[in-house]
Amino acid sequence: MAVAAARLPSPGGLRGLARNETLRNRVIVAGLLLLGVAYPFFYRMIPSAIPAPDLNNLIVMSYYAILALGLNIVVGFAGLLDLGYVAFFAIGAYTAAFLSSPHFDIHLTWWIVVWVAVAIAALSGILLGAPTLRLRGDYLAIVTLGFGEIVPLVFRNLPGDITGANQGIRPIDPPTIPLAGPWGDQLSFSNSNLQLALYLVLALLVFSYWLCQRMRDSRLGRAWMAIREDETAAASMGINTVNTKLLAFALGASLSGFAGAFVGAYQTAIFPESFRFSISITILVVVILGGMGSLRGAVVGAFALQYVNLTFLRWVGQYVNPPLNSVGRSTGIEFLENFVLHSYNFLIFGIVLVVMMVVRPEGLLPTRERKAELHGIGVAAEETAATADEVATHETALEEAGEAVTIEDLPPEDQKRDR
Amino acid sequence: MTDIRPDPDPSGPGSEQLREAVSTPTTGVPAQGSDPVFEARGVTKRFGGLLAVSEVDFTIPRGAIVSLIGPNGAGKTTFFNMITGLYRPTSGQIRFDGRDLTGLKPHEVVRAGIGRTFQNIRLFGNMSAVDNVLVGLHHRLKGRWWEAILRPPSIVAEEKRAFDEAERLLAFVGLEGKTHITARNLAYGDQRRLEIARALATEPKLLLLDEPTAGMNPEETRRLTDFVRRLRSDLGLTVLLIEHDMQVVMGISDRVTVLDHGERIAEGSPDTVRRDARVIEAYLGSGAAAGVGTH
Repeated sequence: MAVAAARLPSPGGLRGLARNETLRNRVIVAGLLLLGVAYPFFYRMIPSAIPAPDLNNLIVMSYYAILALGLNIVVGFAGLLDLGYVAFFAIGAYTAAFLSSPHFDIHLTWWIVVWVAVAIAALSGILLGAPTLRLRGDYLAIVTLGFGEIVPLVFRNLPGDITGANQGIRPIDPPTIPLAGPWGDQLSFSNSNLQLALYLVLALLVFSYWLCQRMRDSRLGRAWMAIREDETAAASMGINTVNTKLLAFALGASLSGFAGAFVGAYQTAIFPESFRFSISITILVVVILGGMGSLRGAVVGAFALQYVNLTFLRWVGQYVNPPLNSVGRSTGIEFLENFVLHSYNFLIFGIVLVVMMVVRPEGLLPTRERKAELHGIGVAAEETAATADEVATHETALEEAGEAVTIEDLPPEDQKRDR
Repeated sequence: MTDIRPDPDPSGPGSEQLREAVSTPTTGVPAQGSDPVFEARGVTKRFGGLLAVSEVDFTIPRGAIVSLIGPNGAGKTTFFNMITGLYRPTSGQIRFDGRDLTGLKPHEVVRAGIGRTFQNIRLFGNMSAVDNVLVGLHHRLKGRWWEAILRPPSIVAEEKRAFDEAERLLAFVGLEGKTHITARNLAYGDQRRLEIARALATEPKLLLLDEPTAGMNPEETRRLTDFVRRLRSDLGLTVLLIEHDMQVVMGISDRVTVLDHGERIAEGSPDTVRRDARVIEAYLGSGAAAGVGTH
């Protein structure tokens, strides 16, 4: 054991605080960001035989990633099942709409509005959390579910012209920077300029990711995870569980408000209909699909799910729908005649989720802890000081030092696990 | 973030105290007797019609190792849970170190200076050993949520100190080198030790150990018994044990309290308790009271 520890580069600190982010990870992140920035310049050249997302799809994927990161704080870190997360999304979007549209004739700049939306969403998180966090497990889930249903209903049914009822609120001012140039007298980050909107949402995503990472690797992050693991034990170690859970709700909700403020301004219009229960579930599916508690998982899960939803199913549909429709017409089977593949998206997600639970319950990119939990690296592997991550770090470090890594270089327990 | 009390030691992080305590042993066994650090008076717990603990008086002298024994269902763990704030006593009063603890919440009891372990190990299974200990340090750290995000130098330094201290505590309980192992993957004995390290991280004056030797073999039990003695001699802790292993109880306790059916039926030195007719009756049945002897 001591041998294994001595051979591995010691993190020498908390994860993230002093743990070396491996070079590999940084290269991957930088590469992906570069791809995102360059994408608007070349995506039109991609042949139609390749199902590539358009810019709008990419923007949706990105803001779903922000939503998933926020829900991950509540569900993945603190272990609180929140089925009404869409409520905070709606609150963020409506806040943006109220403060920068002709609706109340208030036209604050979006760069201020977004922080107001974040604050109000966080406050709503506390308001929902305060009376309900005594509940555990299923009961909390039911109450949050109700909250998620009530909020959009309130926006739809408030009397008079407060929230614009079913017609919603439009137009909402887009985020702009008054910078004159060949593009006009200002830069506008909305659906009238998809490229800039994409850059904005990517920036928001990077910022959100950074926030989550910082929170995870802190005193607060440890307290959340302790509560997720065993609330009673956490309380018996001096954690004020009520405050800590409230913070999870508030900070999780604030990211949702963040995304909401972006979406309102990006679409320049919002409707109560767009904040359905299915959004809460979709975000939850993303978190589970990616791997609960895993930040990378939340982002990759969001991109994967919305890619399938918005791009891939439609692309496959081009090839699948027409023959099925014509079969339907000739046989008179109405189901086939009207078959549209992407309208079955939720059925398909359901199947994917079930398959995932059977094949890979820890998610696409799990945290190492969940991997260990669900793949029974049990007591026998007690001496595996090196988690998979650290082995990887070790290998990279050796490779960088120009040494060939062989199985013999690793402690015996790692050899066993080396697959 | 979750701090609700002003810090009792504004001069610096409390880690200093424990660091000193770990490295420099305090003077052997502090004076005992007339100075109870802990005092329960008439503590009663009722669950509906069930009287789990009834009118128990209980004192622990400062620096003592005291055992709470009794047959299964005698109310020992219920009593523990009342001390630590998980249950609120139906009636009675609990005082610790000059403070009334009755009805405080668990995290407030910890902050008052009572740490505990659990009968069935309750580690944070999916967190690493060091993270478990760091959770124990939670209430002694000051980082707020915005500081977690902004990470000012003071917080970076605080986290470094906390990490070092957590490693020291791991080494103190004999888990050096296992810093980053996920708690659930530790061997059983190591999990017990990690639970103690986590409890020590809360900087207790009184440590409650709920059946620390349960499931251990004789060798492990012996080592743990020695370790409990070290808790007192090296850290100056007062220890309250719930224990079933009579050899352990008789070997290390200064005083033993016996509960049966929620009532205190005996209290005194191990020798007195061993000979007490009611205790023998409670353990072995009334017919065996004549068979006084060693366990």
